Amino acid sequence: MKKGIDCVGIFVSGICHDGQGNILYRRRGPGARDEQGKWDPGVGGALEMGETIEQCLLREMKEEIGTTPSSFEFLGHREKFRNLDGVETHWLGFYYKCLIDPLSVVIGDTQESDLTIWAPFSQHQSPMMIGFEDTYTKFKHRF
Amino acid sequence: MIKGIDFTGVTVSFYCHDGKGNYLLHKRTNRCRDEHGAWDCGGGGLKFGEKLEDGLTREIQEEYGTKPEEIQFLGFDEVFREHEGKPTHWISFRYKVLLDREKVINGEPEKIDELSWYKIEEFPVPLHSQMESALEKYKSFLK
Repeated sequence: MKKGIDCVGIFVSGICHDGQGNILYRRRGPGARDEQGKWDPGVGGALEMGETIEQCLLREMKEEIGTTPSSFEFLGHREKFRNLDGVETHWLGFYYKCLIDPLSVVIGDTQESDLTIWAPFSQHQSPMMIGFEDTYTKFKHRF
Repeated sequence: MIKGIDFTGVTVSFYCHDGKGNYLLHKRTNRCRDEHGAWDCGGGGLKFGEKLEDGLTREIQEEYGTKPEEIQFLGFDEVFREHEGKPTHWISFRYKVLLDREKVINGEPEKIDELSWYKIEEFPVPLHSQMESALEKYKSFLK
């Protein structure tokens, strides 16, 4: 049973900013679920059964960047349909804006993400994840 | 694998109105899974690969035999309950939907005993247990 392939996957994504106009971009490492080598503007992952969306956000932050936001606000949801190597995937994402102290960030698992950079949201890295344009268009006015 | 029990399920639920402050409710038959005899606004599970608004349109067509004239997204809720002793986990997307009253029929007589239009302050009892809390949350949008 694979999330996003056998059933609708639900994910949470926290777009982290430093309060100075920069957001945290991370490059997906070889151990990422999909889209390895692509730049991801969010920290997050799949919702687990029985877990609330906010619990998932904080758990994923802790796991992936070793810290939790000093404040966060809900941005909105987005439907994500991708064809990945011939496989149709279906994810439903819940996006948050998270204030993070850059000095508190510790990347625990370099297999999950192998490069990080703080940059303005408008300064896109290359290559970005599929559908990033849509995420950017939807939420840029909130940053 | 069972939706809502083995993995988090996604549902759409709809408050259908006629543009004149009347809302469409239906009474659940004894053949429904639960909440027999309760009045409900309507809803159902999202299918894999289906957009939320497509799932909404399909469910409305199945239950009421017509298509939405207008759709307004209200919000979503995380629903944790128990079914036959097992914990269930659903995320429900709520919509306000304008229907053409002339076109509404009982599309699912095996699940729907009766259809009727009510002003919000005159809703019948018992209401579906999920409706009470949702009504409170979204009442400002449902006037």
